[in-house]
Amino acid sequence: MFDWLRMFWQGRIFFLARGDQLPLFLNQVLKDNVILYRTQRSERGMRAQIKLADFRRLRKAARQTHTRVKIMAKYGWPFIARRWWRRKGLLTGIALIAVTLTILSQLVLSISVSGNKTVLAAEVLERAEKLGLKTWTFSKNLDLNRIAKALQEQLPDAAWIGVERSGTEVKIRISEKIRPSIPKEAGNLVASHAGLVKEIMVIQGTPQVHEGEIVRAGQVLISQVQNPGFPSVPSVPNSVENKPDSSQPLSQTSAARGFVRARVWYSAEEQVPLAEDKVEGTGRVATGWGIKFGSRVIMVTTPDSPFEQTEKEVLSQYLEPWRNWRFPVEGIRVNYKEVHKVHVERSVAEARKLAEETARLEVQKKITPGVPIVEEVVKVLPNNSGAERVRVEVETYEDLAVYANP
Amino acid sequence: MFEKFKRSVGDVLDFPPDVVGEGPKITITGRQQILVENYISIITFSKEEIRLETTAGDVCFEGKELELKVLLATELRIEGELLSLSFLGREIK
Repeated sequence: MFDWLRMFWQGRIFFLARGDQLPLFLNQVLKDNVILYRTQRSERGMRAQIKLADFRRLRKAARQTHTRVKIMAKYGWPFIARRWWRRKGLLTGIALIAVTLTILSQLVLSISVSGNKTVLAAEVLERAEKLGLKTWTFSKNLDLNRIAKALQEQLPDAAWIGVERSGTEVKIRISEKIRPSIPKEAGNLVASHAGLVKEIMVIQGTPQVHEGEIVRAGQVLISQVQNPGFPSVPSVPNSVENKPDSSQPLSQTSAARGFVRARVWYSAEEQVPLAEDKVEGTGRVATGWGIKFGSRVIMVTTPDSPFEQTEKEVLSQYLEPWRNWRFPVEGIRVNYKEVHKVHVERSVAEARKLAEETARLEVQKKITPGVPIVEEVVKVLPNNSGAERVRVEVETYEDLAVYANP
Repeated sequence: MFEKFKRSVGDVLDFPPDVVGEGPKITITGRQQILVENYISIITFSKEEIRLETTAGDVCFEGKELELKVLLATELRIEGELLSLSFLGREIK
């Protein structure tokens, strides 16, 4: 193997020597400390191989013994290099392609938005661009989690936004909030939650409820003007929060506008047992790589979990060359997450506290962000033995009026 | 005289013969590989016969498809099917 490599590196010349004094020629050559390889008699003379560097030293011996030396073939790296060196254009081209590919593969080349129905893709892209996520930027410099968080804050209609990168493509996935959808109420302001109306301010339209009334979710609060007297109302929607965004095409001339402030109650219940057995992750993760061919899996690293108890997570990476034809070989990554069983015992106070905290978090998920909390009540409910039940009730004062999703 | 002295010194000191003597060292592995060290020159060579000059006389290898695999000033390797090996010429003193 190494001989072969050395030979390739040094370069070999296959030559044919013809003359009457071939043995003399050989001895002369050997006296000059030249090494010959694979010397063999043939019908016309003598065939042999020689290192490229030694070839010139044959000349003296050849002249002395009247031998003619003819090159039959050249083999090895020096000849290949010379041939390539002559094609500089090709070499530059290859280098250029390599550099371009390396740079291009580090850029964000396309951004796609999926999962959106009412939120306009163009708007999402525009906001993403302001956050730094645009095409032709280095994907290394982007903090995708931060962008996802910021986008979610900016788009109240999105319940969740995920930004993920695969190669040069960045996918923004949106899952939208489900709003009360009453098609025939298009243009009317309806209640987003059930609540007790405290204040009504109508800018345009007819109020359908009065102060002190309890409204259901989806009930019409302010209806649009049926025959608008002045049709040239600016089409800019209110920038009041809790309003669905500008993405909604409304019949602008007659859409209802206004605020309806109300007291709204939210509640959540949580039960925490005093003694509990649960499986918990320890935070230690071992990663293994493998190749999957059809249904057969060959693990290259970490074929077995190094931990006693584990949770296995398998991520597969595959090529998508054409439509739904999948490349039969795919790479897989297995994350082994160590878990262990924990037995937890709590005192009544601890259980209550934990239940309260969990319930509060639960409530906070339901409340529209940014709404001030007026009152919070924590109630301990009658419990069955061995568990603590806690209910958290929160009262807010907020604007209920939203446009019904057409 | 000197040769004889060298040989006896070598015997006393237990040297291997190739260190003392100037004769060739021929190693034959199976029938395919022959390694000759310490030869002087090549007299003739063809596919059937290779004749080498050494201090111990001429060495003649006969065989089929003989090929000088590596050829150095003091060492050569022959490959091919060996049929016979014979010494010619000079008598050993």
